[in-house]
Amino acid sequence: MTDEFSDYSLPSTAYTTFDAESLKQVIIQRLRDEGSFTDQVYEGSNMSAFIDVIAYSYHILMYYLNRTSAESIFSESTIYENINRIVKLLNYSPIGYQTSTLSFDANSTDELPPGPYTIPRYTYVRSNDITYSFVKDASFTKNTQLNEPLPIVGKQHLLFEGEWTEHRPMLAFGEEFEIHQIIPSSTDSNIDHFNIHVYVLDSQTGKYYEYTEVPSVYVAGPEDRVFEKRLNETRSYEIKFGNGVTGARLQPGDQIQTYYLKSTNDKTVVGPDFLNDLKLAMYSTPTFSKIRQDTQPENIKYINFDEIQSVYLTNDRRAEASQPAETVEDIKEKAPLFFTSRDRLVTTNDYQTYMQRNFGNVIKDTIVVQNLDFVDGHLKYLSEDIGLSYPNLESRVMHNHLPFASTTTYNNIYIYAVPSTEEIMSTTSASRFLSEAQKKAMITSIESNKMISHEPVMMDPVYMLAGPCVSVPGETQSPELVNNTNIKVVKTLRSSRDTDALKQEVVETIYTYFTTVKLGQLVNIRELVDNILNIQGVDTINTCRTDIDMETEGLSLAVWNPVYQTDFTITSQNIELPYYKYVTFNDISNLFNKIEIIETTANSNNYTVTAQPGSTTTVPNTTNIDTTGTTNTSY
Amino acid sequence: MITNNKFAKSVGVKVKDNSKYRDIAMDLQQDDAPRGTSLHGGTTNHDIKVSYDEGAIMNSLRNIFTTTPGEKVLNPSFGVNLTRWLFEPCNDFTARELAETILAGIETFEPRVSVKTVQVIANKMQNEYIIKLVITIPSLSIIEKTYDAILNQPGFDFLTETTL
Repeated sequence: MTDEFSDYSLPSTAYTTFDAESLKQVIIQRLRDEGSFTDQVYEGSNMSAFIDVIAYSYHILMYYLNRTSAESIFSESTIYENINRIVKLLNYSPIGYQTSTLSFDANSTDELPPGPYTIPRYTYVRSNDITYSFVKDASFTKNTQLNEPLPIVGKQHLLFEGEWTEHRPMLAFGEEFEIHQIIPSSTDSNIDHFNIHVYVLDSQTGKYYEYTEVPSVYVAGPEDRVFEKRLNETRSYEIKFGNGVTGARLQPGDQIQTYYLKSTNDKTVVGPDFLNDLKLAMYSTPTFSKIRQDTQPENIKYINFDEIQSVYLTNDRRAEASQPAETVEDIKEKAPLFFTSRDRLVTTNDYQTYMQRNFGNVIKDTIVVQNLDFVDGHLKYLSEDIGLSYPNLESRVMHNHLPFASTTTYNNIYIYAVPSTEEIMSTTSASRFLSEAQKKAMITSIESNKMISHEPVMMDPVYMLAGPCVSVPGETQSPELVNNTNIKVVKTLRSSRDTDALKQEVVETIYTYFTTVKLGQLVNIRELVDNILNIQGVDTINTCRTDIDMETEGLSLAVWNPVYQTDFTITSQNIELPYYKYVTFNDISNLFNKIEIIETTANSNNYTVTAQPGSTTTVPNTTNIDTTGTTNTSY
Repeated sequence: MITNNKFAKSVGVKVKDNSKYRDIAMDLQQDDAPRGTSLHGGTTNHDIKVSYDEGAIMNSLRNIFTTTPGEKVLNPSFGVNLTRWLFEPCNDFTARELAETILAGIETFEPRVSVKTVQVIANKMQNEYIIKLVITIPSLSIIEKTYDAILNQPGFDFLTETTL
């Protein structure tokens, strides 16, 4: 085959370099060769105007052709519909919206007689149009005639924001790998990705069976009542059933009944005590009553409408925020990792990806380490740096190990997670730690994918605080120094910026920096200082003591463990934290009051600065930074 | 001139062999001369009407004067916006500016002609400009060609032409 078109003196690949201008030249050359017209070369000619329009039209068409071609490539795709279809080849199912979750404690009154009970799935509480629902049956046993806490319910279950909705019944055709689509009743609501339940009314027996969700029907047995779920390119959920060889095949006339958790408001994050005084209500529809009756295990006694009035819930933590559906960028990042791990949790990276993908609505950040790293890192920190004789008996380590770990630790996989409700202002709040129910849900979810020898343990990070601090040599280093240290911001000469506005911007810069930190992150003080110096009107920044006459150039920070204060470091250099440490800024609500704004007036050698109330201070210019990373100031 | 190219032979337009400049006519009219009968007979095919020599140059001049810069998709600098002068006070000063614009436009975009004179008369009563353009076309051996044109509210248009 020749390399050229038969009638054109162009290589067959010339189209790859075509744009409007080159097309125009090709057409002009072509017309010149052909000879009928001559005026194509004059910009004023009619022919030139036609050529322009044709060349430009082809240019636009080729642009879209290129875009379309690029969209079929994984790394180039920018449209959700396309990337969704592409990753289908990798058997990757994009994650949809995840609703807000709420940890709670359950209690019963003395009106509930002793005995075993089960709160049926889909039971809910509602207040001001905000609904939180159970997603599975919650069993407990009441042992006494008295008021009694029901810790097992709170430890093993979470409430999910949204109400359960019954989808219209769908009739099966009996095809192999039959696929049905869930179309929500209203388009402005979000379906929680992990809460879609499927029941099938068998046309032969007239009885409902619950179908279990599996990652792929291809790994199921011929009789297994399973389904596969996928958020498709139109952002609807598809339910796929088996073919009778891998996964049970639906029979013609079977009736598919799905229930999904419909989030009413994607911004709903309720605070502590939301559940107090709210009554539990049982979900009930004629179809669901039949389903519950058909699928009820023999050893389960569902609590009735009267008895459930004696059960009440409380919450002392606020809810975790909801998580939006995966974007194109998220899918591009996670699909290859998912493909590499083949839906199995083998390496620490697999665990990390799995956690971020499946619990994005609960955790803000996570790091997973193996036992050796734990011993060399966190355990060593507790025993050697902090000086604990029995680090394993340290409260948070105990708290994390006891419910989950086995007696040996060789195969432990330590999953450090920062809850998304972690509050930068709180140092001791329970919201800084995942609740037991959340940890239980994570471990349970991991169980089906992890290696059989792995023993995952949910760990709480070591929360560190940071604050401006400077000390003189020989001074006892303690958080007290932070209380006596301010940040002094010197305004640029003749800057007209309002002092309070400047202060506020400095506070926001520091706040923003510390809200984006991650576990084991480099605390980049230089970057933070640069960010502050980039604020309009800021000339220099110093750290100064309020109780003594001492000041140092730049930002000097103390980073310390508020529980074990022997771990206390002052530095003006960058600090790389180990994987188990998570740093927040100390008392950021008071930071505004710890910033002094200084007006500058020009002077010969030093510059004289005037403090806001009118006092005059001279900034020493003899600060030296030595190579060890500490800051010394001469006086 | 028809080349030996196979494609050109098959679809080439029949043109006057003695013409120097050939452009398609402005309104995409059918040529009066039949091209031949169609494959199945019955109907007669016509080519697109072609403007030759002075006609082709006149197309170009008209396009220069009626195109506003930015309108031509691949050459946004092409054209002189004559109609903008209608929003200026109709006086001799504006007439002079208009004449200079016409002169610059032709010199920039139409290398086949050289301008001898451009005369613009402001008709203040009618708020219009009477334009008299005298050019030479060396390549066609035309020593002097005079165009009368008008610029008024409907826009620019040629009125008459006189060839020496």
